[in-house]
Amino acid sequence: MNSSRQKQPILEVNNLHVEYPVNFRGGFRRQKKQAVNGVSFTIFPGECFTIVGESGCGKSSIIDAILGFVKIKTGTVLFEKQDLTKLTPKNFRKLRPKIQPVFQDYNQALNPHQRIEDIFRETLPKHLLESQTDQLLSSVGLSKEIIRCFPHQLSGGQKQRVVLARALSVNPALLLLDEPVTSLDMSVFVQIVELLISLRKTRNLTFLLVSHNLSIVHLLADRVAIMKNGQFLEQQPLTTLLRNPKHDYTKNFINQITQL
Amino acid sequence: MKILPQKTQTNQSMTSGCITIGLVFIFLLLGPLLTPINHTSQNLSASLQPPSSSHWMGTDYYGRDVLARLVFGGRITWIIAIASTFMAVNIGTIIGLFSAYQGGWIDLIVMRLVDVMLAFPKLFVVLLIVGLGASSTSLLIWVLALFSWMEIARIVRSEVMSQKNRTYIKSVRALGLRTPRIVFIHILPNVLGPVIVSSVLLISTIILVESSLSFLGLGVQAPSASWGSILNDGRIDPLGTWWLSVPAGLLILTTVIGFNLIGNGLHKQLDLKKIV
Ligand SMILES: Nc1ncnc2c1ncn2[C@@H]1O[C@H](COP(=O)(O)OP(=O)(O)OP(=O)(O)O)[C@@H](O)[C@H]1O
Ligand SMILES: [Mg+2]
Repeated sequence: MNSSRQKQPILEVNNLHVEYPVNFRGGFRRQKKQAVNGVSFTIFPGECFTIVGESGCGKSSIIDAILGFVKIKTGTVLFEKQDLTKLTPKNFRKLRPKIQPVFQDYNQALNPHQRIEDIFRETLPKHLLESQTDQLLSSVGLSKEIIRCFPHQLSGGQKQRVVLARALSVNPALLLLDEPVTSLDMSVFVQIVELLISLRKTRNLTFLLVSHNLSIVHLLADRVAIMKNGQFLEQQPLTTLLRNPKHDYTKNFINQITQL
Repeated sequence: MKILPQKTQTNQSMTSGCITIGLVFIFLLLGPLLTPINHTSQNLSASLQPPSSSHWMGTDYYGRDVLARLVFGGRITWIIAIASTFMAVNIGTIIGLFSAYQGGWIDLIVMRLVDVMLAFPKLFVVLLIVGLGASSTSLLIWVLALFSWMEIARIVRSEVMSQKNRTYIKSVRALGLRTPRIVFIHILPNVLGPVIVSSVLLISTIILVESSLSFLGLGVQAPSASWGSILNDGRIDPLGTWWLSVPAGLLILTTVIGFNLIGNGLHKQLDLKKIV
């Protein structure tokens, strides 16, 4: 932890605000819904920063904002010192491979009309296609027999592994994990978490993890931010947070962890 | 993929539509074998003869063989309908894709244009344009296409809108793929289903519009023929010269119903797929 503190941050989010237009009753008066309301945090290379909070508090909106999928109202997102909000679309596209998301709904994460091998054809250089595909698949624990399959022919765990392999195929530095294991069943859940832990080590990855699943937080998180209604209540290293929570809301959360 | 119990049910709409269209198609394909007579060869002494052994479907005012004209006219009707549908689908798909993926004010303007064009009664506008210009078959195809792409554009746009924020599109965008690749490789194949359904339905709409135009004397011009113009030939005395109006009318009706049945059948088929 201490050594990573001395490094340059990989991601720096400052005073982020995200709002969505809500059409109220036919919608002549445009209403706005504040989803993220002034969030700031810094992530250092190699660590796993985790955002925890109840459903609808704005966790996924932070991820969408970092990826440029929603408009940022105010605030900055610095990735390796570059402000993503000020990049031209072309330069942003070139930088995109460095930041890869993994979403909860693995059933929707793969194009249903694309074979697994064609997924990698899009991201890997031609002359290395076969060897690198094999390597990637084995690094996420998949056999290469599945490359001729369509997504619907795979199990949930296999799909999520393919999603991981696809993300890794562009050599990312930062993975944005939005509930990556929540909809998997328990045994697969554990396997994927173990996979994430080992990948983080072998590939020097940094994680931004979003989850309200307490066991994955316990296993992966270095620092934890507690989020409520679009704001962070507190951010602490996991151990400090467990020993010495500041908010009642956090205490509740820890009680739930220790019961497990 | 889970197999649904409904899947084992035959899709009756689809089957009957395919049989109907298949029969009409075979008639158009093999028709010349039934009658060796050229569809334009006139014989004024044999004008308006009822069906006989030498002219199975009788003759028209100029003594031309009606069967030969039904086959030839049907081919023209089909070619016009399919060609303008093909063009309309291409125009509509490209505009719909572009508009939806760009979003913002471009989308707003394009969609208002679509609204305006949809607000015009199709037959009226086509009538106006074709009536003003000298009507040729290729002009007819163009005009029919230019006034038929809007519904396709709308369908494509709404499908793209619903696909655009799906997780897999977000994922490939995050990989840094280029926009054309995302649109054509990842979005297009997933919106094609509804486009195919509405193109099949569009074929029958266009057949009806073209037949109405030709019936009014504005579409396909003599000595060429289409089912609409043959119907027009029998206009003066529809009962007395029933062999002109009835077969042409029935062929139009059968084809339109056939394509509609196929369209509905495809619709059902694709809905089933969505549940899986
Ligand atoms: N596209 C959108 N349009 C309008 N409102 C939205 C949109 N996306 C999210 N919201 C709203 O913004 C708020 C935050 O949503 P967000 O998806 O970020 O929550 P979350 O913390 O990820 O929840 P969950 O744990 O259920 O995934 C919610 O109240 C949601 O209703
Ligand atoms: Mg979420």
